[in-house]
Amino acid sequence: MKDKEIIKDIIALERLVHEPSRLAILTILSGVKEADFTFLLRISALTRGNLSVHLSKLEEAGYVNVNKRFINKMPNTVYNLTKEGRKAFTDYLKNMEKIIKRKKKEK
Amino acid sequence: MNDVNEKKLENIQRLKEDVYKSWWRDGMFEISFGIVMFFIGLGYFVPKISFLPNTFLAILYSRVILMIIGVLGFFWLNRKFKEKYIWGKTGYSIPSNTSPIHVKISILAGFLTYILALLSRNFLPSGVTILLTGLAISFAYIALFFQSGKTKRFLAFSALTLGLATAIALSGVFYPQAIYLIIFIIGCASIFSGLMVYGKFRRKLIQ
Repeated sequence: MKDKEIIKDIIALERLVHEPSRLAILTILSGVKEADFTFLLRISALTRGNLSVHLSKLEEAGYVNVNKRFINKMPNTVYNLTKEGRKAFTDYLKNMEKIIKRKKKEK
Repeated sequence: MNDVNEKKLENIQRLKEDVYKSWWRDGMFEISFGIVMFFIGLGYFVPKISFLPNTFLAILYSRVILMIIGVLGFFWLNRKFKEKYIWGKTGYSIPSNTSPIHVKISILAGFLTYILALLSRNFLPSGVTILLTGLAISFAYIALFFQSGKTKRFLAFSALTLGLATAIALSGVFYPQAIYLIIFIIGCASIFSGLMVYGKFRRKLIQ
């Protein structure tokens, strides 16, 4: 019975968020109001291509907002978490904590 | 499986702390805050030996005006410094508005202590007011300590403020002068600390 509940919780973990690189990006964005591509690149330690691909996926899912602008005639892309993105991230963390607690109880 | 999940949560927490700390790592907060404090402190002592009219001085020392100038000046300077020296190298970010519960408690404690300090002016010796004001500033630094992902130098500033307030209260300097003296010394210490932190930060960036 307990095993079934754990499996349910594991299934509830969203795949889009569960992927380590995307989880790192969401974690960083959850700690800031907004951040640009260079900041994300430096903190996440991902490659440019990787970061760009994962950000596009998060944007497609509606988890990340993208705002393109110019600073001193240089292009600058700023990202921030949407409401849905923040909710998906906190739900993911809650589910993870639940799974860990249940497993600890079983032991 | 459980170990992997626990490790994952730990890493998330660590990464989040890293993000919080990144805003404070460059020393720009201390430099801009220090400059504002330095000028507020200096602005009190310099006109004392000049010949400015009393009404102008009264407006200048009005606490509300000083607070507005302090807060606006600090935010403006901090943003300008970040734009000029930091964001080009590290990327741009604005910290989140959400604060941990410890920050809220420290701010509340600081605010209540400050109100106590203001009330104590009429009933208690000048030394108590100075000590309570020092304690209020000290609480503000504790709030910064928690807000900055437990950056230890803010705890040192908290201890420095309290020590300074105690020493000045015991030395017999009277109320308004003592507070401006504390503000002035903290301003100088803050600029010095900020420059040291910025130096270290720059060396790390170059490496």
